[in-house]
Amino acid sequence: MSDIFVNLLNGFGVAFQPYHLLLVTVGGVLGTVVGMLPGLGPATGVAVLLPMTFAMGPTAALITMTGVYIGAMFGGSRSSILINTPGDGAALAATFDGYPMAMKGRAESALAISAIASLIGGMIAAVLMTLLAEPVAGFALKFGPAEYFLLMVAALSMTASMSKGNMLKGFLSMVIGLAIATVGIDAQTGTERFTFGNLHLQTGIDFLVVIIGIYAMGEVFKSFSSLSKGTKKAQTKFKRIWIEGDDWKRSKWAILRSAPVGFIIGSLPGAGGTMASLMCYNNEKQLSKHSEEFGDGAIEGLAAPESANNAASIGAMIPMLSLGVPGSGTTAVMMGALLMLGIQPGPLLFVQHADVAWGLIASMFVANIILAVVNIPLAGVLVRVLAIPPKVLYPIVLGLAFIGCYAISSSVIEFYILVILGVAGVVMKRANIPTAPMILAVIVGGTMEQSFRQAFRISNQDLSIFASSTVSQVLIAITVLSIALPIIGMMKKRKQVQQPA
Amino acid sequence: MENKNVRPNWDAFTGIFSIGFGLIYGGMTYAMPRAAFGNPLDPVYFPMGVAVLAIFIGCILLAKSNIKASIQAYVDLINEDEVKKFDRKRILYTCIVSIGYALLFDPLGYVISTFMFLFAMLTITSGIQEWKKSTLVALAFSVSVFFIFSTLLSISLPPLPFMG
Repeated sequence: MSDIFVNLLNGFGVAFQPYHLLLVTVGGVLGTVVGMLPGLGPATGVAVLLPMTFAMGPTAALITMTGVYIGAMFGGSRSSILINTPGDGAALAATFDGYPMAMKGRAESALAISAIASLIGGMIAAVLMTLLAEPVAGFALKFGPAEYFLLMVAALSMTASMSKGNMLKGFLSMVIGLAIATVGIDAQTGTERFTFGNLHLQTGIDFLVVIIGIYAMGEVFKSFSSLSKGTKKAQTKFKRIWIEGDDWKRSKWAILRSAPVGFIIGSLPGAGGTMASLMCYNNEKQLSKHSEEFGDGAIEGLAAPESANNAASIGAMIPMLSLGVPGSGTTAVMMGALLMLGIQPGPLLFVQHADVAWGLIASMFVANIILAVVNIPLAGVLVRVLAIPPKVLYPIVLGLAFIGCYAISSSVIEFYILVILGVAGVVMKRANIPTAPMILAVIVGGTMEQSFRQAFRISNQDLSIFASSTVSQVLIAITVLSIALPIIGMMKKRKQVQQPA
Repeated sequence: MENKNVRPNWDAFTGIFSIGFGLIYGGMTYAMPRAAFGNPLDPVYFPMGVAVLAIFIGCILLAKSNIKASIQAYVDLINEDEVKKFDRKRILYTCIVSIGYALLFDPLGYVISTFMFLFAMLTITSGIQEWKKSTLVALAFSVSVFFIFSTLLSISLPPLPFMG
């Protein structure tokens, strides 16, 4: 315990350096602005702003990205509250009561409670993360290649099966991602796979390109439809942005209850902020004395999902940092940022790059505080971004996507891949195929295959190595359950539907 | 009228795609050169597993789906109103402009090619009547991004052709 405290203090030593404070603030403000833009969530924000960090050292880059990430989470709900258009899925629940509050002339209270709830949720989650990250990593240090392979299988199957109502399509998305991950020269034997003789494809398809393609290009393509619909005008003039009357009394328990729930859900691969915020919204609705006001501007209905949402975003960092398996699209991008900097997230991170790991955790505390400070008084200035017409905004996002892509690979071949993936994003949306499993598969696919082959070789091609340890057995059980439970649930539902008929 | 009773969805086509993808990917895996050392089939196992999984998922999707629903979804897509068709045209134009951008990026340098790309994109989204604003935005973006990336972030971008 005292070790954790000392490490965290060291982390604060890193995060509090004036240069790093400046970076986290700049990253936070930029993240808030991007997160606020309708349709562009934290994943797109981090992906598009990633090249900004290329010239920095690993610690500085990571601290900036943390600022962007948490800023985007703060910003996501601004557009939910003011124009009823969530910046991303996780900010969806903020529209339920946030927008009605703004409509009733209580936008100031709504913006303030959203920032306060995000701050408290984020802080509670950062404390939990401080306590849990290193022990989880320590536990994972004992993993051999077989356990690693199974861990990735479990993470993938959880992500795929949590794709609501269309588990099969979740798995299809995963399969496509795994196929993309196999492109390039095989690391163990030097065999060329699926390169079509193209020199640029020999190094494989960079997963950041996949992420930028699916999120930035795909989202802009999908948002083209909003160009025809016209835009909503956001309120940009405010009185003093702060809570009033019994706002705090009504929301405090909602905020405190939702943070740990959000954190736990966020730390599960695939679950993420959307599920956390929706679940906490429903919880509060059931617990509240004012449940009839929910959906009509109940302040606790905004406070709960905001707290959960931010807590989940920090919870999602645990599997990424400690196990090297990102649990959400945004943490996948963060992991991409780390890998670009030559740092391999995973159990060894806390041993080999303790300064980076703890600097990152400490900067989460710092980023949360700075963003609350920036977001409450400056909300009125920041939301002016919402006044930029989308018809100007989307081309700019595309421009940033291309430059980001070029900065990663220094080749225009990726531009073509970007276009293909952007179109794939639209088609997948049409066919109701979730994209998160694909992104995760692209990232872990390579390591997953290598772990599988290592384990297979160590055991002299004996498959029983995959079930020999307790950890393996637990991971297999999790994988089986993650597939079986939704199927059983579906069958039960079908029975219930049939019975009344 | 019968078709009106099925809820249009793309499940059947998705299943067919999944099977097709698995077959092609599996075929390519099979045709892949074998490893020169170690177990020659080592690089083949994993992609082959992926191919089998794709075919398996495709078969279940197809078995569970209703082909009529997918045909209905296709018919609905074709008969969509003009506004939605125009949205799709915008995507097509964006793809064409992006490919042009990729082709011109190296020969013309970052600033000129990006200016052209952005101007074309802004024309697609805002219409030609706003060409003055589009020119201004495109110019400001391409010059400022070039400055930020090449000067502040030291990422090398293709310069102007006459400076090259």
